[in-house]
Amino acid sequence: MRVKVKFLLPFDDMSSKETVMDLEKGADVRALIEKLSCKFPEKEAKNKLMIDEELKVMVLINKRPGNMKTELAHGDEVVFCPVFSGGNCHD
Amino acid sequence: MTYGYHGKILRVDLTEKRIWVEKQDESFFRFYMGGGALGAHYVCKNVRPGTHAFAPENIMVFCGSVITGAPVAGFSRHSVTGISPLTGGIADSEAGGYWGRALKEAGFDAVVIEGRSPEPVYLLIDDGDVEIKDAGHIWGRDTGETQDMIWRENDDEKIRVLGIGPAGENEVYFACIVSELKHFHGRGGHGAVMGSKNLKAIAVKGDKFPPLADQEKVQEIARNFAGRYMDFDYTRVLREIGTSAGISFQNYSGQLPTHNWQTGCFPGAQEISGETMMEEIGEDKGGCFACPVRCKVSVKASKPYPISKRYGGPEYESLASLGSYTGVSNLYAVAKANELCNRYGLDTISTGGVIAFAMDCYENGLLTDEDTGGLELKFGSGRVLLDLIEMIARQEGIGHLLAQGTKKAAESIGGEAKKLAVHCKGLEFPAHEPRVKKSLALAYGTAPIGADHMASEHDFSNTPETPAPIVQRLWPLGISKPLSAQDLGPAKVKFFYYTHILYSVFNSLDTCIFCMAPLKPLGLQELVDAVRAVTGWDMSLWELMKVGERRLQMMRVFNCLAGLDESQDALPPRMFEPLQGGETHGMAISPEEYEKALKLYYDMAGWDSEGIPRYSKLVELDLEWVEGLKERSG
Repeated sequence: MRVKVKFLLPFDDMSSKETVMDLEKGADVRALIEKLSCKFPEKEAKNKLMIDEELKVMVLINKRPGNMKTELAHGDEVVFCPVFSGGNCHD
Repeated sequence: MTYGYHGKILRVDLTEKRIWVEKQDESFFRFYMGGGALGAHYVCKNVRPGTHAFAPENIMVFCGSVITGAPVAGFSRHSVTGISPLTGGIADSEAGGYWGRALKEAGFDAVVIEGRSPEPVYLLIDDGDVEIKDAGHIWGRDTGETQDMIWRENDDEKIRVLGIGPAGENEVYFACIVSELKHFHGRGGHGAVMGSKNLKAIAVKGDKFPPLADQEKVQEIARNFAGRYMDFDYTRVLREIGTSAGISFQNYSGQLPTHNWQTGCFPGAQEISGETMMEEIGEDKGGCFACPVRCKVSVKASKPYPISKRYGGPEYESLASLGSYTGVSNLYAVAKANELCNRYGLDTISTGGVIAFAMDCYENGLLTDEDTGGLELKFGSGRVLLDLIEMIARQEGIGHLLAQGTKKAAESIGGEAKKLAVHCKGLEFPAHEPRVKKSLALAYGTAPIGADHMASEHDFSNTPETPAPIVQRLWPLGISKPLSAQDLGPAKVKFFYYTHILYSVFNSLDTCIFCMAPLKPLGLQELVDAVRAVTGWDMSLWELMKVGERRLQMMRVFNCLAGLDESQDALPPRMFEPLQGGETHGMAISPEEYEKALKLYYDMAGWDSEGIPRYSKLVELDLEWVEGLKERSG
């Protein structure tokens, strides 16, 4: 199956805009990160996205929050981004 | 010997032109520490609740805290506290930069301004010497010209200048105070209060920074921060493009307030995104004292509008309020609007909010061409956005109506206009969506200053999908149960209650939330350690939390007596209407779930069923004296 992967800042150096990944049927987010690491070893996907085998960033699947074990389906859009909370300097 | 602070409060009566120094001892500073807590103390002690914001009897308290100016990232900020013209209640507002440290270098921990000068003046504080100087020749000038003229006539470009522009002079209800042209006490209309006092600026300089108790430990904490901040995604983003990065994420996830809060999806988001802004007009980066993050982006353009980088550049909030709120996707128009707000001294959030409200009224036939002087207030017009900012700053035409803020403008327009007015207590909404992140409903509804997005941690720091390392950084507070962002049940009320007090600690210490846990590098124990190292006090997180709580309770009592009763904790009608389109389509707050959460919060906070702090809570915080306000309020 094929999924579309996007990286928002500060992970945008992981791909130019977005990348398409082919995965085994039933693969989850962890499998996707493993595959990204193999495909782009120089991008250090695991270091940037995981810590102690856990996700350290937010992952959105079709715009909904997911986790390492979220199963992916053909055509899914997966986005990695930081946890945005709130705030500005214009108080 | 005191460490980190002087123990000196500068008092200035502009009516009598009297200047004196008040000394406060260690117990006072340990009890109130600074920022909004110290400010609320002075307001509660000196101002009768119900006093009009523009009356000479209102005061303004400018201060940092006991740790402000220590060379650690995030310890640079300072605040102003007084009565807000928008709400009629007490409000504080913080800004970053260098002014907070400079005030301490000038020899004082705080400046308390009272009265009203019969003619325009500015205050010069030079290494302990204080002078009230004529500002007749500066009155009417914008913020940049004001700074230049004060520098020139004192022959010193290192003086740190905090001042107002024409909007403050003209008493626009949401005029802001500008510090060094790039840092803003944006919220609450304190610039208008300064204008009402005929006070154009406060300029400070000196060389009297107080000693630190444990210099080595302070340096160690600063070094640790510098070594780690690029490992935190949030601070990395801030370092790379600043808060403007938020536009893409907020829009992608259906949370970017658009067309006066009708939807969370803005078709023009790409054009006003931080990425586009950096590429097209990004000029350079700056920041605050001792902070390596440098999150402030300056922008520059020559066409179609000349935009000067002196006035910084739009933050996330400004891009959203001047852009998506109003439907304007022309980046150059939004950046120019931001520059005009900064030159004239207008809060960008309230400015965008009130203009979006006016556009909504116009499109619904509540404002006509006759009301607007022929200006077509349609969503999406960059030209109208810029024209309205000029008119608001000068209080001309329809600008006079809008200069009173959304709440008062809606009351004047009447009819259905109140349904389109998005504010709490009179303060326009900042660009975070309570229908998606539901703890914000309580934050906007109950925060003392009105709709405040910096009042508590936002929901996504503690959801089941939030990475464990982030969630775990809230554990020292006693928060360990992740909750859906859409949850507004009892556990979410507790999440809000605890983090509201924590953010009140940040407001009392004047620390920057962009450096603090849970999402940013400085952990809660490190903050405690830093306070210990700067002051030499045997500080604990418990004691800090009590300072934060003290600030909130003082402000609540004052506001209750000023007439901001429980009806003022209501959310605007639009929050009960479902969002339209995108991933958040259909999300809304139900009146019942909000009412239930609100009443539980009252009880948790030590308030009675009408939202008034109980005597027992005041005793617990050693605030029995605040009860005396009742007599003064009549």
